Amino acid sequence: MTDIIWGTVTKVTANNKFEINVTHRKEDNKVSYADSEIVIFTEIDIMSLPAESSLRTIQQIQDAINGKFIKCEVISRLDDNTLNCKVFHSGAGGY
Amino acid sequence: MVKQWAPIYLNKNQKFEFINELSSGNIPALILKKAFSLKTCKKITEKILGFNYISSGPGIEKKIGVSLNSFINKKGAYFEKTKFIDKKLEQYFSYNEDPRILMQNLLSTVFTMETRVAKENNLNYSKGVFRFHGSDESFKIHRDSAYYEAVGYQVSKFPLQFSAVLHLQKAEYGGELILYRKIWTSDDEKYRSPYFGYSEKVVHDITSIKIKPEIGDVIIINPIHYHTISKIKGKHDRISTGFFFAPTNEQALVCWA
Repeated sequence: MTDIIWGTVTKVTANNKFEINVTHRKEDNKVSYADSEIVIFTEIDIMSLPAESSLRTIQQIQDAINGKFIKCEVISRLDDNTLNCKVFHSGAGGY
Repeated sequence: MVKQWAPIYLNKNQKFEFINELSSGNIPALILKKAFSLKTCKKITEKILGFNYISSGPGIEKKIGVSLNSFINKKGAYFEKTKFIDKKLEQYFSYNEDPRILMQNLLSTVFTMETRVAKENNLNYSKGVFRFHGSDESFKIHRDSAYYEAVGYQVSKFPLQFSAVLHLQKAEYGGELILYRKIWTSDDEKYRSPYFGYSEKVVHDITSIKIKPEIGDVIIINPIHYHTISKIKGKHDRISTGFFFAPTNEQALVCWA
């Protein structure tokens, strides 16, 4: 089973990289995660973003996820301590 | 002196000219008392309980109709499903019987503005949802905001959003609307729960009011205020139907769910 963390994005630093304030962790995650993590994503499933990664700009990523609550499925932790994740919109704050 | 925060009650077809007070939060709710008769609500309830297309979604175990929040990232699927379900509901209820249409007409009278279903690329948004809240279900504190959450949909362009809910059947105990005197800000996202709503910490020490829904009442709120439903006990579900609506630049109201 994939490890999952949730939280709000605090800073977008590249068109495939952001900082996240981790507020929720899946109960049966295999490893632990810090309250603040740096994420590099290989896939991002957010409707307002172009599907083709080369067409995405930092501004588009910022508009789409900065300050937002998202879900990250963790693929691996890289040598520089960043997390390689698949990123998704998470749930709903209301109806 | 602390200004009292209390709903405004109107009789059916009475006009309301203070929509700005509702949007600013100075007035927590507008209640259209007995907007629908007990007999009409009973008939609608009996009928909707026989409708086969029941689903669930974020924050709700049992509903009929399509909600945008189930399709935040799947716009094509939202409009496809809406077309399918709303066609079934149109066939099931006659035009003069569908409470969602009757509520649109009611809003046109109350706010003196034409009310219509929102459209995007000639596709209709969902006309509304029937919600069933049962005994011992837990209800998360939440706020509703297409403006923030449904980016990518045209309805997210309306800065003001209201919700209108008709109460069709009461729970035996509980089921009150709890409305907090706090408007969502983006900083509150740190209190989000993974699947739906927010942690109770988001309304810690915040004043609230309880509105006991009576059958036939239509309750209109600015849903950016945090709200929830009190615990329900008893045999009967609390049944309601409703939608969101927003004023447009053309002095009309558009609605969606």
